[in-house]
Amino acid sequence: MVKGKIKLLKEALESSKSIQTLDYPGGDPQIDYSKPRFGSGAKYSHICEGLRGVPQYSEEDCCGCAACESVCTANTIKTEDVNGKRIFTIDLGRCVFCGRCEEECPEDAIKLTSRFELAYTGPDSQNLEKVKFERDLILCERCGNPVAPVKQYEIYSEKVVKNLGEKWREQSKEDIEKAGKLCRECRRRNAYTLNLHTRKYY
Amino acid sequence: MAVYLPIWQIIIICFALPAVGFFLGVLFQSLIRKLTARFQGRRGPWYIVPKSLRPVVGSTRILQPFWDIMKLMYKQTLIPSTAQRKIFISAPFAASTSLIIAIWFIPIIGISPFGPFEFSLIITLYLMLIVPLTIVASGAASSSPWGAIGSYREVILTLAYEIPFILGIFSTAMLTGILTPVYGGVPLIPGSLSLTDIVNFQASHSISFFGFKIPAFFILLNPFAAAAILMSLIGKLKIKPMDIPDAEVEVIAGAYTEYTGKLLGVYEIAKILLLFISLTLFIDMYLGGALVTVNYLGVPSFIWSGIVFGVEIVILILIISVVNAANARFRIDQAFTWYMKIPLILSLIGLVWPYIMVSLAGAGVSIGINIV
Amino acid sequence: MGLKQKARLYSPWVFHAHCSGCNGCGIEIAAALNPRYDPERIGVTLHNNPRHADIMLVEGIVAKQHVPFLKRTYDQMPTPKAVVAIGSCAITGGVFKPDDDKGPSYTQGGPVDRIIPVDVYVPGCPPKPEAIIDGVIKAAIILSKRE
Ligand code: SF4
Ligand code: SF4
Ligand code: SF4
Repeated sequence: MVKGKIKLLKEALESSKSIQTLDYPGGDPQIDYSKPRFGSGAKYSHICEGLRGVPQYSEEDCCGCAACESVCTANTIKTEDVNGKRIFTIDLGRCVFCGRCEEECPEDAIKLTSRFELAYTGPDSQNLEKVKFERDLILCERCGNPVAPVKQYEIYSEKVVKNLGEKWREQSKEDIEKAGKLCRECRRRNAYTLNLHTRKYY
Repeated sequence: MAVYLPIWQIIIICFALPAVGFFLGVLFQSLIRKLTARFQGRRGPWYIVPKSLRPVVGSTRILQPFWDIMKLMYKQTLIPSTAQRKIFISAPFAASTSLIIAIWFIPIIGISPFGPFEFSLIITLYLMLIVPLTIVASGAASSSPWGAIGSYREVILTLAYEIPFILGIFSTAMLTGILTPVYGGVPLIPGSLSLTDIVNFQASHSISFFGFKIPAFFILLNPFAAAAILMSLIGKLKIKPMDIPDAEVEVIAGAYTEYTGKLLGVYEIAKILLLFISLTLFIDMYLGGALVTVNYLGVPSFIWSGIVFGVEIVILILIISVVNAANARFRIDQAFTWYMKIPLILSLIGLVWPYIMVSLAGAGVSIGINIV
Repeated sequence: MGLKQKARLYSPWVFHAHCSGCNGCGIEIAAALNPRYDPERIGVTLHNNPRHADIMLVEGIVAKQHVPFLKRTYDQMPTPKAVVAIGSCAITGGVFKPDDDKGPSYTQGGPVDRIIPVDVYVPGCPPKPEAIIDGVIKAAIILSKRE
């Protein structure tokens, strides 16, 4: 017992020399990644490069495809199509910082930052990251149902034409002109008359 | 030789002394928290808050225990409907009042404003004993199961540490009477129970210890009793291995469980006063009361006394903090057995140690100590 | 700043109410109170007694069976008091409430602010210990402004 006590005393004296506490609420928030951030060399906080903090949206890059909505784990991102507009609502209170949206976004419009001081004081608080933005939708020429956001349509019609081989370029341009602005239902129903069957590409 | 002061001076001293004691106690408590944190590898309450945080949380936390008490004073006080109201409310006040009275009798750096009381040691002992009694009463009166368990533990712990404490104190009080005639010193008073006399004895004598001349600290003359008392103080102050009655993970907060707001604040004041009284008592009895009577370097002696007092307090607090940080909590039965084993035996040795020294000196055996 | 405000700001004692979360947030709260982040620097100490606490840290979705106990614990705290909801479970239901159309999980007693008034929300699943400390400081500031 005496031996154990002496060992404990030694440990107490040793740990008084190497303080483990981080500088977090005070100190310098400028983080220098070149310095060690673990062990007793840690200075400000455990902010590593891969830290998944609050997701950051760039409204310019976003094409409105809603891929992030379909993969979002906690329904943080919600979309609604009303009156020819697609409305995105992002409620930070639900986000679990899983990073799936960042993985799936085709335009890199959504990125997880390393910002973590997110405490907010109420639904009307300044800090609350309740992003809300809209994208114009293309409406179906026949039935008036929403097809896709304008931006997505432009980007993808370009991409499809660019990525296809010489052989099908003219054909696909024609197809896009013919059926691009039809909704999924109308396209399926009129596939035969429009001569759109995918098999012809093979 | 009682000194009679004018009534207004007495009243001022009555209020000023506890205030000084409380302020110093806050500093001691803050230092204990800081050092304990250091020994646990933490920082503890910030003494200097970083600049970037100052607008948000203030600039210093030296007086952290004081802020805790002030916060409790501004909180709502809830009293359980099933509690014994009278005992529940009066217990914390009884604890603080008895300690405030105890401060009047304890010489601080050799100054006892009301003059030397004949039996100040006994008075202080009993006034300090009121605190555990009030804790027991309040725990039982709060009608909470945790309070009941806390009271029961408090009773056992008090029984355990009070025996070595009292034995140690009396063996020290005997030193003044027994040792002086034998070792050729001037006998002051035969076996005084007055703290002022004990302090004066240590200040006016010195020991030649194997040729070195050092002040006659009783910690050198009777180290066994000093060790026993330090161990008992750890129980009295609820330092880590002995904080069984208010162990927060076992019995919520023990007897304080149902206390809120102002009543809890009064208990915290009592805790801080108890810390101050215990440490000052130890210094008075074993470390010469920090009394310096010579004006070294032309600096008034009371300043030297203050410096010595500070140094001794810091050493004591260092010991307490290391013990606090390096130990795990005992079970109540372990604590009882431990107190019955080590401190009790030490204090019994301390009780016969003066007689052993006397008989050794009578037989002509030198143990290297001479009181001058 | 008066003495009252200062005292309240300087010593926020916290109490951890674990209300049927997955324990992820509980571990992060424990981490926030350990030597690594040492909130005792700013006077925060953990008390496991609601009667001594100023700030309650609530974690979890608050299962239906838990609702009366959370209410009772809240009532046991003397005023002034503040509540910090920690984690997306406590704020909105998080992953336990996958779709608004289908309604919440059948065990869920509702997010914390439907049961007791919440002052500070700390999002994350689980939030970093630093974020929790940040939330506690914000709660202490709110607390100091209470009557
Ligand atoms: S996945 Fe990217 S581009 Fe698509 S809607 Fe989400 S943020 Fe916008
Ligand atoms: S990080 Fe996960 S939960 Fe948060 S918005 Fe992205 S997908 Fe949704
Ligand atoms: S917010 Fe996430 S980590 Fe916290 S309790 Fe809920 S599921 Fe667990």
